[in-house]
Amino acid sequence: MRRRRAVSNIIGAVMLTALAVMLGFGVWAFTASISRTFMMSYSQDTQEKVANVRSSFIVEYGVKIDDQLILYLYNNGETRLVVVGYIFRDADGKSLNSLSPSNLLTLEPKGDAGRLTLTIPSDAAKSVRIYAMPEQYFNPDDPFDKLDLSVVVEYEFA
Amino acid sequence: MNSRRRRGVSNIIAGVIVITIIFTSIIPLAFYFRDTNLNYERAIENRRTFEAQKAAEDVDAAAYIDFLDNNRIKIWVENSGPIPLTIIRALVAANDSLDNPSIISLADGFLAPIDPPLTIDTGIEAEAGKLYYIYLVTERGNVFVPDNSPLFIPSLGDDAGYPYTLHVTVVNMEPRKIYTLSISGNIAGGSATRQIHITTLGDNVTESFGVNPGNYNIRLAWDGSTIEATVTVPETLYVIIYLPDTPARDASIAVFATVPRLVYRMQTFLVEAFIINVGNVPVCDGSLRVEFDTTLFEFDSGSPPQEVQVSPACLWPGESSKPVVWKLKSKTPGEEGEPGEDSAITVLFSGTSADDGSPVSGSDEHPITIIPRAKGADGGKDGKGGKNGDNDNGDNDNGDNGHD
Repeated sequence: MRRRRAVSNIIGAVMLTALAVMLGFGVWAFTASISRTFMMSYSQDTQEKVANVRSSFIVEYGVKIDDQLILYLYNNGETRLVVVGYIFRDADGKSLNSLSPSNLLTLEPKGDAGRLTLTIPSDAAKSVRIYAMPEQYFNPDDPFDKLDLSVVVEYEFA
Repeated sequence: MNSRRRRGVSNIIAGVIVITIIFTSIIPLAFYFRDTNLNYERAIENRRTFEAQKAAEDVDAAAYIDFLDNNRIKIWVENSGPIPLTIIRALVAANDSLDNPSIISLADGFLAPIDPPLTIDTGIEAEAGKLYYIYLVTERGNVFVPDNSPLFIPSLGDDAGYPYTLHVTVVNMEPRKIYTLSISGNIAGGSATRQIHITTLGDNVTESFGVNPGNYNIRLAWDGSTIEATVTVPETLYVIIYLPDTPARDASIAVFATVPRLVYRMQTFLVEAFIINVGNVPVCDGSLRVEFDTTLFEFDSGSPPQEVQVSPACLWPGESSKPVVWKLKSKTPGEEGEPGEDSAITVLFSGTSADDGSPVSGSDEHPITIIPRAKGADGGKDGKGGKNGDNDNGDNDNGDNGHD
């Protein structure tokens, strides 16, 4: 009896210790996983914000010929930009078309310029808003995803 | 004892687990958050700086057509802001091809505030009658429209095509003096330097030149003196050159006449006169006139007339005229042995000032005494009495005056 009790005491202690270690490892693994996930999520959010902050472009030249609007865009930011869409607006700021994001033009950072030719939808159009976003966050399969990272420039042409 | 030892092992294990979690998860997470936030804040700060620098950029720019270089469109740019900037591109759109502007990329468009102005040669040869819209783009994303854009030239090779007029006013000039004004640069007229001679009747004059933007050297020369100035167009379009004050205008002359002090009766003698311009204005068109008592003296044969034009016609300050020599002869107002006759011979000058045409005059009067000839003496009749000038000591030592 005494020997069996002694054996079972040792086994019990070992088992309890192993259990405690396993539980502890589990807690650590869970915590580490949660922390890694949180880190990645936070990192991605921050990188997106940083990319947005570093993105910039201008319209350096524009001319309206009949129903065509020709714009020369210049990327003066630090990210590779994709021009994803535009919205024409009337004098009251009312949108005259809906945004249908697509890769219209890609501009290299710091100095690249490109030409964009748009068809003016109506004579009421007085300005156009150009949307461009960092290329790394543009998803052609889901163009509306991350659209909030877009940089918007408004150009008045009439 | 046993249960106490087991409790201790559990505590240690629990502590190890907690510490492991803290060191492997929580602390790295905290550091990661801090680093990420720092990156974001750095990006925000960089953007803020970028926007501030962009807003601070400013240039003075002017577009023009260089008529001296195949009518090429050029752009003059000067950094007038507080920070350096880089012009990366110029766009030139003609009115007949607005949809396809010419893009001129600049390899070295860096321009610091202290740098001299930059001239951008677009390489585009302007055509008469066209409008050219011109834009300058900086690296930070500013678009500047130069002065004179849109550029319009009704006809080429015409001074009217120069976009600016540079006015040069010279103040405090001396009338009738010749000044030479030289303008070096890309001025109207087809040459790099234009030189004009200015002579004014007043105190100042203004000359105007059609110019392109750029630096111009202005040089005014007169009487061996020069004044130079360098101006930048279009920053400076009016230049006033103040000349140093000159002494008050003074038109005056001095008449110098040589007249014998004593002459015998019936003696021929010479009166010599000339003038010196002792003022600071040229004196012109002057004449010398001799006056005397006609009861005592008369012109001898071969003498110039009473009034003689001075040569040269204009006397500059400090200049003397050629002498005029009259030949006079004393008459016989009395008998031998009677006391002499005292009289005077005056030489007068009259002319005009070259400054304003006002009259200028002067005179020199000399006393002269006709003395009786000693009995038996016949000197002076031979016309050599001009040496009478030797006996002007008034000693009246008849016969000892050089005559035999």
